[in-house]
Amino acid sequence: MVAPHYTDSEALTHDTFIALMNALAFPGRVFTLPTASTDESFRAIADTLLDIETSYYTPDAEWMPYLERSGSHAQTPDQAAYWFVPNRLDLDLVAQASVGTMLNPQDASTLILGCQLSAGQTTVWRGPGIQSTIAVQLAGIPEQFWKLRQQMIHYPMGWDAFFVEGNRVIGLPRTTLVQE
Amino acid sequence: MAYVATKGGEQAIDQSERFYHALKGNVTLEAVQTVLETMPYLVDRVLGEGSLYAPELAALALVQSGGDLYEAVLLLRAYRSTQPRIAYAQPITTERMTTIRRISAAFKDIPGGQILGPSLDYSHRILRTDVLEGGAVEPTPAVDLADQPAPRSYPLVADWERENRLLVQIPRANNPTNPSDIPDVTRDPITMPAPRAHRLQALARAETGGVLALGYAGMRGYGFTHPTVNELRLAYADLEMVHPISGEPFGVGRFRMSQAEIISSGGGGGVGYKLGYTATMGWNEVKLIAGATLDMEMNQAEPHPAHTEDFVLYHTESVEASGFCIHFKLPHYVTFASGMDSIRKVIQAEYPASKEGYTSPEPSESTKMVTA
Amino acid sequence: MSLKELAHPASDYSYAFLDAYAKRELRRRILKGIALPGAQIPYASRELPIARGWGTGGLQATLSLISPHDTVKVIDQGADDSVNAANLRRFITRMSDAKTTTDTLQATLIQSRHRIPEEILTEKQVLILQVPDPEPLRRVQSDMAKSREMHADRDYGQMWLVLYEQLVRFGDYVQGASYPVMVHNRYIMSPSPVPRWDNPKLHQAQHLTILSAGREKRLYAVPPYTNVYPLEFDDVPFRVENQRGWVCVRTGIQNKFMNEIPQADGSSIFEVSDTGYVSKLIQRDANPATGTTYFDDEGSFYHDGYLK
Repeated sequence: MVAPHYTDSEALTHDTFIALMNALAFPGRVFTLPTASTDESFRAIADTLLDIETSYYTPDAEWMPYLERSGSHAQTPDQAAYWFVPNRLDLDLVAQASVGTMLNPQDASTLILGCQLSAGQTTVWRGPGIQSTIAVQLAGIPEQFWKLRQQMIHYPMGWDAFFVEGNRVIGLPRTTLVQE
Repeated sequence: MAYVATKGGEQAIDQSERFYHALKGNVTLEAVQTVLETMPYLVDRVLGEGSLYAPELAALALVQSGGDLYEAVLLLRAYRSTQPRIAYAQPITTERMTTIRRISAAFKDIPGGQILGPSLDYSHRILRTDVLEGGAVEPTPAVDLADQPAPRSYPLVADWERENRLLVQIPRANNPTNPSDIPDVTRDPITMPAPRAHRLQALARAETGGVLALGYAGMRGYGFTHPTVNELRLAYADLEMVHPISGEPFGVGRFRMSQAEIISSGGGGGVGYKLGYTATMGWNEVKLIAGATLDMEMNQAEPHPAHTEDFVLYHTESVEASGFCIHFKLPHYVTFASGMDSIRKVIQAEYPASKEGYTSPEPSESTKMVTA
Repeated sequence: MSLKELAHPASDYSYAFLDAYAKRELRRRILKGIALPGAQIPYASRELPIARGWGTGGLQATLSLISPHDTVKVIDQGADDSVNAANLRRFITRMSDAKTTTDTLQATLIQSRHRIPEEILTEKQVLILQVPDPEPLRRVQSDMAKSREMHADRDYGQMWLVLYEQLVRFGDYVQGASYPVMVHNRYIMSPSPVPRWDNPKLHQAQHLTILSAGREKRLYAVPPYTNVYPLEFDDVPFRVENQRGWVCVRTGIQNKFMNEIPQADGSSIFEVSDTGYVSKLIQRDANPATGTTYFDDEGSFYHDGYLK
């Protein structure tokens, strides 16, 4: 019996998932997506994570048709499972992200954020997935982002995030402690 | 030769499978057709528990597994797992089911009448051993044709009860308008308390023996009340869909399904009668009555521990229950070794002695162990 | 461009058996599992052509991670050649075209029933453990809904009570395998029925561990470099199995987890449970090399001070 075919689409979603998985398992480290641009990365992540059984939010109307294609439906920021914010992240928006509940902390949002990696402010991260500490540079996110995050996250409640630039991704699970 | 240390484990598996098949007849189209024709109720049980209406596939699963019911259900479920979801059908209402058997134990007669339909209920259970002697088999006489065709369906007994304000009012359900919003037990991880949709789906595909055992316990008094069959139906339901482009409804096919309502006034939950309900694909009366009884039991404020939703729904899942049961055949020697280490420590502390700190107790000491 | 070029060969199944919806759902859940170390994440859990209770949970995790570029090792009770491991391995390769190995160091994915290999796993490897019962609180609460609330409330007092009662009655903890652990100082987790010998390997590990219960429909994860401590009282330390003095009949080594094989005369002989490691030791002069182990030749654990 011949093994089922490893199609291009399977390869894309597999490699995207593995990058996301590693990014979350090793927060702060840069992992590579199987794409050639930020737009392609956002599409690949949507293809990998979205379908009729989950919901999304995006402030960027141009992205909605692609995200709807998956069968996933749009939700308000506080209800959506996945956020797609390719640029210009608004602090007021972040404040609306779902942190889940004590009973179901996994219901919290996952934020996929476009920004610049290896530029801008350096913060020091520690926690699960990080051997001692790791210094991470990120630009293009609001200045008060880290303070707001600290206020919103009370483990196990809290949202999780991925920072994407081009074909590079960094993961930030709610377990990571960030020092400015 | 150790069960585990068998080098060439794959060869052993292959031979084992061949041996299984050598002890039974071949899997042929003819065998499948025979099962389909001669054992439709067994086929219905498998496709009901398999949660996939595909009589031919269910018959094939039975033939392929040599009639091992749990293996057959697993085969069907594994197949079901691979099938894509294309669309949702229109909801089926009782009025539009072609009902060929409909009885109620609550009343002597009911609007539309008591329709016995196909049943062995009043037959004499005598084995026809003459068949084994190769004697000419006298076919069962055909059903006599009636003067008038039977109506397609019958009014609901429960509707009469509603009109007479006999049923306890239940809050109107907020049924989702979009079928993809209906909780689906095969897609959503199960959590308790279960949404009604999950409970009814779980009962629909529950293992018949498990449902019977728990339902029977309820009927015998471990539950809160003596149930009465309000209505039991065997039917052919028409599957209808809406064309994705024209929007026109069209028929896809017809399938066997059955449902039962239990009625009771006992237990808590308001003054009047309450209903318990179970439906399933295929015809399976034992499961319907026991399931409907359990549906009611699970609604009690403090059901018997064996009738909580958690207990009933988890333990009547055919594939999970049988799979876990037979998994105990797998090697467990590491877990056992770990436990043995703990027990040895305890024994050593209790009976310190020579050889590796472990000794068989003298008769007098064993008495001590029993009374300790 | 011809249709033949455009179309893939006809196939009854998607790559790795699971359809796209199943893979996506599993992948979504696994990501959340990583963000919530030790917390049980409910998932749909597809039926597979292998009976429930026989590794469908671990299998689903493996199938959602695998590609043709992976090398997979499958073991049961530490043995690659166990009938059940062989059967799972056969299914996985049939559905994925991935390579297989018995050498822990060569594997990218390791699916295991009830053991963690002796050689230290690295950041490039993922360990997938098969779990029969994901709920460590089962012994104090059989109702899943209630135990879920206990985890939410961090209501773990009863677990400590159980341990205390064991100390009072038996003078020691009597939990054998599946010894409960506290992960990232928040969730009590069952490490699956691995022996106590393997529990420490989850603490501050280099690798990611995914634990999945197919029948019970829960998965959970321990990320790398995460604190995992066994439940113990300060003055009564957790201990691994006492196999001191046991010598492996096949390799002559000590201080690796061993199977005890009863002999007809009432005695026992011992052999190292990790058969992949054993085969490499036996071929010591030829390749492949053995890696550094979690417990050294004297039985000391590689994280100093972790075992008291």
